[in-house]
Amino acid sequence: MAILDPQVETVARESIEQIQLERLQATLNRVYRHVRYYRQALDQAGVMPEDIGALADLQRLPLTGRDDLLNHQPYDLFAVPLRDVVRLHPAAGAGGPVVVGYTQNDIGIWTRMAARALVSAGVGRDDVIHLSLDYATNAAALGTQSGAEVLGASIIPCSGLALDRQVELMRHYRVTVLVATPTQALQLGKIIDAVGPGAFSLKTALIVGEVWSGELREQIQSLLSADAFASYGLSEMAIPGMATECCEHNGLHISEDNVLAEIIDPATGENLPMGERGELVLTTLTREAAPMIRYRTGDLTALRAESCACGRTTLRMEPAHARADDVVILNGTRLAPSQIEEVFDRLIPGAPFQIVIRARDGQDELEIVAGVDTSRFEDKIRSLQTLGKQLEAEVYEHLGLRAFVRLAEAAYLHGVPRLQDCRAAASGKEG
Amino acid sequence: MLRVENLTSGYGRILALKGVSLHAQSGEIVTLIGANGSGKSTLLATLAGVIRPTQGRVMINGKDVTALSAEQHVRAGIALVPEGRQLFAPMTVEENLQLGAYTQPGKQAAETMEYVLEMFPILGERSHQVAGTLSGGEQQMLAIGRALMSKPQLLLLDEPSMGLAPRIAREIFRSLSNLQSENTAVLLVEQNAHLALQTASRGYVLETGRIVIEGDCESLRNNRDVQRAYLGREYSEVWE
Repeated sequence: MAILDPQVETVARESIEQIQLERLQATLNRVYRHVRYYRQALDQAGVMPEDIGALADLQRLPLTGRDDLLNHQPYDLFAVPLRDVVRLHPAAGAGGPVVVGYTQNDIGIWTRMAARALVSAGVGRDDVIHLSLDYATNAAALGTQSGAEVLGASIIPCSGLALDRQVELMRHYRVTVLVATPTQALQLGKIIDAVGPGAFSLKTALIVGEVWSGELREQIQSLLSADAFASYGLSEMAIPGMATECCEHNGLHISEDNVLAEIIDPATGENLPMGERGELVLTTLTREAAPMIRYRTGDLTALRAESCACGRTTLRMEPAHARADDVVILNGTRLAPSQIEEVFDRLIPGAPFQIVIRARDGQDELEIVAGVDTSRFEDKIRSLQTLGKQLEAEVYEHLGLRAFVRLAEAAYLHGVPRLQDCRAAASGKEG
Repeated sequence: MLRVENLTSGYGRILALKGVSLHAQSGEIVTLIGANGSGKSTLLATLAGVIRPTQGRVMINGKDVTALSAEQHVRAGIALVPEGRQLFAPMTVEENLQLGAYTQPGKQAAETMEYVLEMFPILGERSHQVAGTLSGGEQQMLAIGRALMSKPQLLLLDEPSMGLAPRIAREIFRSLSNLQSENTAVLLVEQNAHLALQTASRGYVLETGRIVIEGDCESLRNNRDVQRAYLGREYSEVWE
């Protein structure tokens, strides 16, 4: 299969590591000069940019967490003046959205990365691509669009269309490639499967999602009658397509000239040897507007260094199976149970609750069962309904999520897990 | 071809370079841009073996040349065209070129001379003229020609456009692209960033001894910091 940029995707390890070291040092010099947060963090750790003389020295730099991003919203982590930023993309998630900025060069590099990802999934100029991803919540949507245009493929933006309508378009326009989240792919797959795959020209599904498992792949492949490719990206870093499977389906090739990947023990923060599973930590190498140093993704995976039969020499990561924390991803938005707890504490302090997530019409649906005192049930039905509505309004106001709140006796929730993900029993997420 | 890892170098206790890493492939023209005092010339002098680095490694085709002397650097395939040309002014053009070939056996030197004269025909016309009487552009051509006489794999050029009329400078830069067919890597230090970014394929931006930006020349031309600092755009509106 084709490789878009063999000069970086298939070169010897020492060449790619040389490029990584150069770019890491330049990035550090820039952030130390232009971003107060990183300057202070490095000073505190007692490390100067010039102390990083080899890639192994990366471990000496402090880790960056989502809280650090939240504390410096909106623009304090930018390494360029705002006037140089040509696009802002808020990435929703636990604790509120974080904004990602791009310069013109960032968009160019990002587009190239997305184009590489598409090529590694076998997409070319003769393909018709159906893009189900939502443009506002998923940065991969715009990336995929511009990457596909670079390749000369035809792209159909379908975000927000009803599923039936989408399936109709896929059939009518002889779509060959679907780009969607796992939930969207499953829902579309069910309709396609019911209509009969013979009516469709679909051959490839590029699945953009943080969680992925063998069973989910089987399910999506059989429903869509298409070859499924996993792609990993992270909205906080806005690097969709930073890792994508090749035709071998044996790990996701990391775009190593643009991002440096490490695996750490989520408990201690220590680096783990190659091949061991832990939390993925990423450092951007080419970002101008919003560089990030050792960002903790919260996703659990492992890296592998053996070369791949496809010819690429880049490191591969296993599909991310689970989170290091109990965060779930709902329609591209990250949600931690602790956020619900915070909101509920305003109205019903200390009440137990259960979060239930289901898939409906390609969207993830959030239901929260809140446990209340038995005494509440002696009240009028109306007051219970009001409480439910109030909670729903609070969740929407504070987390930007539409939830359906159901009230139950507190005793009913005793011993029930706080999080139940029913989207696909096979999706590999635990509660 | 050339790989530089974490080079730290300077003069006495003053460090002009602090942890610089860069690379150049065969047949590639790579430019280094930076203001006065950013460490460009120190970097070239260190790569040529004139200054010994305090830290870091210089590799040529996988061979570590960091500890070699300046003349051994020439034998390893590195030639420097110094800032201000540094010709042997009382000697003729031909003698200057022959001196550049002191590492080469006679027969090979004659072949190389032919190649250099093909690249800069004017040097052939002036071969018996004393170098000091050449025009600025011709002197620069002679300086480059003299460096090429050692058949380098890596050519280090320090400010080749300095003091030259723009038309002459462009002519010299055009001839540099001929080196690509010879698989010579070129590391070009230049204050005229416009010209350098047109000629090279990739570039690094040095600021106070550190590389702060790197990339292909198109992305450097699009980089607002580069535009402000080196291309003279948006000059009055730097950092609100």
